[in-house]
Amino acid sequence: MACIALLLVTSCHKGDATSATIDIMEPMVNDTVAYDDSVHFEGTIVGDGTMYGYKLTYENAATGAEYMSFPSEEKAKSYAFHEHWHNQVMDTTTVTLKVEATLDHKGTKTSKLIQVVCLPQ
Amino acid sequence: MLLSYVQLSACDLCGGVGSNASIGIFAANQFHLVGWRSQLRSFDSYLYGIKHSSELYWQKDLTFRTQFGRKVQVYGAIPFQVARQKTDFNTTVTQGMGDPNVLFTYALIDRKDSLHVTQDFLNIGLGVKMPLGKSGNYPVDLKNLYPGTGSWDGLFLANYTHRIGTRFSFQAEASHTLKGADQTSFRYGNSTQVSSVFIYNQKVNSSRFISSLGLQQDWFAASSYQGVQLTEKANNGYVGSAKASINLLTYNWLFSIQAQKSLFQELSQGAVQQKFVLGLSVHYLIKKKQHEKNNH
Repeated sequence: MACIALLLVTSCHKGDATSATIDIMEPMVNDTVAYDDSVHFEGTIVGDGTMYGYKLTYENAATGAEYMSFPSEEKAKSYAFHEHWHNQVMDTTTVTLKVEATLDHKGTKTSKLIQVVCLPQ
Repeated sequence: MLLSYVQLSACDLCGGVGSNASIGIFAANQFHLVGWRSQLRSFDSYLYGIKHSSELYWQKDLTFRTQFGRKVQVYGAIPFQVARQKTDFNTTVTQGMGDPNVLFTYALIDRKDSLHVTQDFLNIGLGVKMPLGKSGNYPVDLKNLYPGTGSWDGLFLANYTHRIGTRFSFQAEASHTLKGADQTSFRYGNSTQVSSVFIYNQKVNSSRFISSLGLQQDWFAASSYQGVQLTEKANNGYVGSAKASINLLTYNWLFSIQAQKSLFQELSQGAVQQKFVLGLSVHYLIKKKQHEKNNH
């Protein structure tokens, strides 16, 4: 009985992704963003199986402080994202934009990041 | 779509689908009508070929049709729309009154047989959509989610019905919408629609059962902003659809269900796909007074 249960649990997740290709179309590395402009974050995540969601994060590269994040728990084999964050930093700041995909039901993650320079007023 | 009213979406959502006028299969009838209709339209949007969001539009209209003499009809609608866009991260809902419209039609041909049953009917129409609804500003707002376009649009229509035997009719309709610019100089591209349907009608007790089945093709020109034609997400393209309706006409009421499913399409360079259109409507028929009949 335990074996059957184990088999069922295992078979439910046999389509989980083991890897994913993350492409960031925008912004470009080290782009400079003027004050009050929007930092446009756009790209795709394509897995080799079903993924369990992903998260986009804008954070201060020096302190790790998070400015904004977009978490999703949508299950899919691929994602296309397109989000914005409004630059209102007080000093010249390097901002890290991070994409983190959840590959399987155990929570295994893969990620990619890019940095841009945000200018103050 | 298929009913006897002006089918006009106030908002050219996701590629301008549903933005043309149609007076539908009851064009040759001479009832005065007031009614309510509800329509659900579903779309998916794509980014780099991957589904990015889904959109659902629920439009409700107060409609009327009135007849002046034998040849002139006036159609009108006041829409209200709820639109929902769902992405991986959030759900955006935009609702409000859409752009009201009015359409005048004139019967160029109205040939009847000896029993006064219409055999051939050709109607031409001219109308206007007024920018009185809630509209969004490009590029700040999700303009396609708004119920109004913010522009004056001109409507042109021709509708021909030919009776085949006692129970069948064939109808062909063509319409064109000339789009104006909104306050920010955003202009949806002009759109054209042609459709043809076969109509079957049968008397059931004191009611009449009417069904139709046909094809529809829509074309949309690209949108422009401040006089420059957009090259990306320009709402241009085409949709070819199959459509059907079931109608029950009683002494004072007309009940209708309509469905439309796209067969092939290319909207906004493949960034948008129409999934389905479903409609439901109820109209109250106001019979012509005896002196009106006598005058004809």
